[in-house]
Amino acid sequence: MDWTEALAGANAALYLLLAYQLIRARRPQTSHAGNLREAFGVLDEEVKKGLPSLPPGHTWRDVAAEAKRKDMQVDWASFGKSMDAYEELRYGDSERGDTDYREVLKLARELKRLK
Amino acid sequence: MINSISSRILDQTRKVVVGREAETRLILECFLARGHVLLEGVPGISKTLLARAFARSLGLEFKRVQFTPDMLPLDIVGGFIYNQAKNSFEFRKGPVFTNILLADEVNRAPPKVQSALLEAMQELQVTVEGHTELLPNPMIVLGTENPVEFQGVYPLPEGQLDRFTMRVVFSYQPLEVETDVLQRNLGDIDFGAVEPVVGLSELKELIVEVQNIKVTREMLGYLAKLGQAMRTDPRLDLGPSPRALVQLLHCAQARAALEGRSFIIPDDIKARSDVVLTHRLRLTREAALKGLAPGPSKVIAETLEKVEPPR
Repeated sequence: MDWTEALAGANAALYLLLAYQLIRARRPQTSHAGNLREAFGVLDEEVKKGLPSLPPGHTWRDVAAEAKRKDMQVDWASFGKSMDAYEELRYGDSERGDTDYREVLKLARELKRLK
Repeated sequence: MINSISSRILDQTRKVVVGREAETRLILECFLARGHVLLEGVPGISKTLLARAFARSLGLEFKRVQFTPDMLPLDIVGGFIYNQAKNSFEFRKGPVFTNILLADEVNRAPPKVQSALLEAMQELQVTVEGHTELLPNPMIVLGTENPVEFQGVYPLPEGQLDRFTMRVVFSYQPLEVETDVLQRNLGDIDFGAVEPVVGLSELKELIVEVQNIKVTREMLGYLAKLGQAMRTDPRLDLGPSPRALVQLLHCAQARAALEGRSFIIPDDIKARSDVVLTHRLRLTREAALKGLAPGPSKVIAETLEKVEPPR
């Protein structure tokens, strides 16, 4: 193997590494949350960055309306159930058992992609 | 339960009034919030019709008084008349002794009459010559006002306006709905078709249910922040009174109940801020001259955008 082949190999390896880093950077990080409250905490952070057009006085329903307007790929029926459960927890001081919050985190990821 | 009653009432009022569901709902909310409503709109826009149909669907006693400039307080609250047979004065109750009082063109009555109505609205009692009589419970005043009249009217003072929990504006209907209105009026309107769908005891239970809608301390703080933000807004001469905020809170509770929730959310407060606050706020002369349109609504909307609700 002469030096040109070695250089081409090193070049290819370098490009592969660059491509891998680029793909990793573009892929949204999976948001972690242990419960419904944390999931909405994660979403709140992403809303601030991803939907700067929303005024400080926005509510969760405003967030959902704005995200729908932006045609984000979320199961809105499921998100609505999570939102109802969160509102009950947050403003009604009562907790529903085992509420699915995957769509909340999905919306957070979608918003992250917007940035 | 409250949800189904609301739809039953709407079904009944729809029999005589076309396309006024939103207004009917607001009046119902106000009734459940133990408040009074100012219905504003040009003549012939179905304010009185809706008030009558609403009263009938609730199965409550309803009276209508056409306010005029030559009225006296006793025309509203009643007064003592001499009973020759008993050789004594007896209190004869005025039309305010009812469950639903339609005060038609309330701004046509002189201030004395307006202030007599004011006590009735606030205290749910009337006092004549030291004699106090309690009004029926529940009792709601539906006052109507024509916004384009300036002659022969006595504009309601701020104190009186503050007694009205909501101001519901009746606008012209969209083309399609107006066509339906014309269609409905080809024959006579049959009020007999409107049936009472809820009883008095049931209504009292609903009112208690609304009072028990949960409000967290944080939500109260949010409401107080909104009030203070409006009071310090340089575009306003007069911000919302504490009574206005209390009434906004009650309306938010009624809205939550009608949506089937046992607690209020920030959206309830936001959704009712305009109808509860607009008629109580007064723009500064400068803001009015700058043509801040449509009146204090813009200030309310901007405050709601600025103040962060609990999330």
